[in-house]
Amino acid sequence: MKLSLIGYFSGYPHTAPRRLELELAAPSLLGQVLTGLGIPLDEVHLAAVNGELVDLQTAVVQPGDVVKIFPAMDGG
Amino acid sequence: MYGTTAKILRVDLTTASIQTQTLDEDFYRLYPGGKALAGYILLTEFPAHTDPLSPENVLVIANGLLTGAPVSTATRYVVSARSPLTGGYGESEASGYWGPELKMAGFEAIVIKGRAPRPVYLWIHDGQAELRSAEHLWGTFTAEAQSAIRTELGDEKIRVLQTGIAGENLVPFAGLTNDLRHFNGRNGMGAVMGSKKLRAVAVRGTSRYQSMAHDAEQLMALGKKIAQGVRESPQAFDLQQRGTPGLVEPLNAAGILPTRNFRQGVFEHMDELKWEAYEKQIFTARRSCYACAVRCKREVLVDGKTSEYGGPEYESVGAFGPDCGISDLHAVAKANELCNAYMLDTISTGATIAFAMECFEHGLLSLQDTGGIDLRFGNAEAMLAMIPLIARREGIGMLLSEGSRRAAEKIGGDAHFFAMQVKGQELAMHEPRGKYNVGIGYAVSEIGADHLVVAHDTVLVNPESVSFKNARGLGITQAQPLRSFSAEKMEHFFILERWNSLEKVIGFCFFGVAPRSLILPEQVLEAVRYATGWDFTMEEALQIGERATNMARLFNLREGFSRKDDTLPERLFQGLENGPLQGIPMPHQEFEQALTTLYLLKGWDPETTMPGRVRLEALSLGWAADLVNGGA
Repeated sequence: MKLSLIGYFSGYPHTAPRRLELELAAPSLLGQVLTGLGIPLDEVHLAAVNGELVDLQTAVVQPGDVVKIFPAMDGG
Repeated sequence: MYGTTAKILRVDLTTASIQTQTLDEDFYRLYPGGKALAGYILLTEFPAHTDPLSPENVLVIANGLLTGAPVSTATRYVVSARSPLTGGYGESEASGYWGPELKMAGFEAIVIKGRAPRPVYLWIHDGQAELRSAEHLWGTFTAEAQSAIRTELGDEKIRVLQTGIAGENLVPFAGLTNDLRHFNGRNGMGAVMGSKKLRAVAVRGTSRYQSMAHDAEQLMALGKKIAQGVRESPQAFDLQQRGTPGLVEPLNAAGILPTRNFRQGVFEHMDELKWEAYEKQIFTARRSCYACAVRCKREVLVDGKTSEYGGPEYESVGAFGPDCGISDLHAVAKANELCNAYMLDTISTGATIAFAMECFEHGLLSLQDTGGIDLRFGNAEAMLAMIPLIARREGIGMLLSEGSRRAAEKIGGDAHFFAMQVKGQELAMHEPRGKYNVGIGYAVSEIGADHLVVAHDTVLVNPESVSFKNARGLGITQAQPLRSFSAEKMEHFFILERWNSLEKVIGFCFFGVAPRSLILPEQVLEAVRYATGWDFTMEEALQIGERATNMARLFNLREGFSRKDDTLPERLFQGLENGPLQGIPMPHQEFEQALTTLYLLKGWDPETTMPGRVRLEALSLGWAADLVNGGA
């Protein structure tokens, strides 16, 4: 699974790079994958799997999926 | 009085007279700078119904209460006058170094009246002020003018606030710049300055803020603590790392990136404009404002060298990029540079070009009208060609320099449908169909469509998020959906509007204060206490914000505005053409009901939006109730 961290997720927590390639042994809940990486789920505003927005609570990711997560963005 | 010089410089350009006024503390506590001080002066000194470009217009430049304090983002000043773009209360804020420099030079505000017989600039230095000839600056680009002023005054540290060629030519969306990198873009304040034959205000001051503060030590300690917190705050950290251009990709993913004049919410070429492309293609360095640890400003390459005018913010990327259907980041950066050299508001300029592109595609503008320019969405060369024409009011630029509302009136037919504006001011690059409070803000803002009326809905949807938790100190207790016009959400709006209005009074940047960023509500109150010695509470803070908003509303009512002006472009009540929100309109009836709910919360008559006398008296504005006919 290829994971792109958009916005501040690549620095918050400050250790994460912008892109990660993860080996998934089996289909997994996206929320659990992100939690395992130390990404605070409460800051995830949108998640997209293979270009489609998904529900973070229920989305299941497969090996080979392309995933992006986005923070909530204000104006300015 | 602590934390302020309490001095206003009053300049009459017709008679070339300059005087200093000293404010007393009772007055200043009610109108402590920025939007509040400007609103008071405009309400009491502007002759009602006077042409915005006449000598009688009153131009107020006012620091916020905390501007110049050693606290990140306490840098803002407001420029205010009757707006030539909207005909109503005009206002535009900017950051940078100019406001703090004015304070160190001994003044909190400048009130400018009249019209100079020949072009001048104002030179303020350590309590002194003089008018100097600007005939040699007239007609020059902003970088040339700044350089010339610094050279002739012999000090490279002079901070120059100025309009440009667009302001000289009275383009109603001409703005002001300071240091070439910070902009009072909106509402045409540059045209007011140009109408007064005032090209620039140069300042230099050597006072130290610490000598003015009630408790400088505590204030410094607070400033240090906040600066250290930037890396721990997700929103502030993001502003530092990516700056506002970091908004492009998340907004596109949500389907709310204004595209092709707000027809669409997803731009298929977004990858060519997102932060990673910006960083790779044009980004060279980060810059800051006075004493600010957020450091959200960008430096960029234009035509292969670092631009003198800074890099495009998200609003400029959005306006010249997706909104015009353009994916060429170099063209976007060039458009930003051109606007800043001529001193045009990038939002209104880009949005007016997008409007013209849609008119062109619908046959409402012809090749003959455009002087042979193929003004289609996506044509970067055509977009770039428009900017000098608008600033110089030549060719098709004569029409477009009026802004989209007046241009639509002149074009006729369905053109009005393509003018994405409120009260004559073009929408910023935020799509209300995906965040309804932004739509309410666009509608009710006294200055026309403004995206900084409240924190956007997106940061308050998850009660466990950092942003939401930071907002609890304001009394925000319950998460609200993005697309809701509920009564509870309007209660939030009312709190957030007063809070943002306070920011415009005390000089904090939208990018510093919670819920948009890291400075907690209690820390804002602490900063005011340490600066002034006042026993400053949240109740007083929100009341100051509300007072300022009510004065702006009264100004508009006196000029003939009413509830019918608190509206949105018809397009927003139809669905977007693409993306996750495709086909989902903003419900018009619910929108109107939400406005009624909000006016009642504000203590305003929902039919007229006239503030009730009881509310005005509670805000110590009883004196203003009779300024408007039919005061309730």
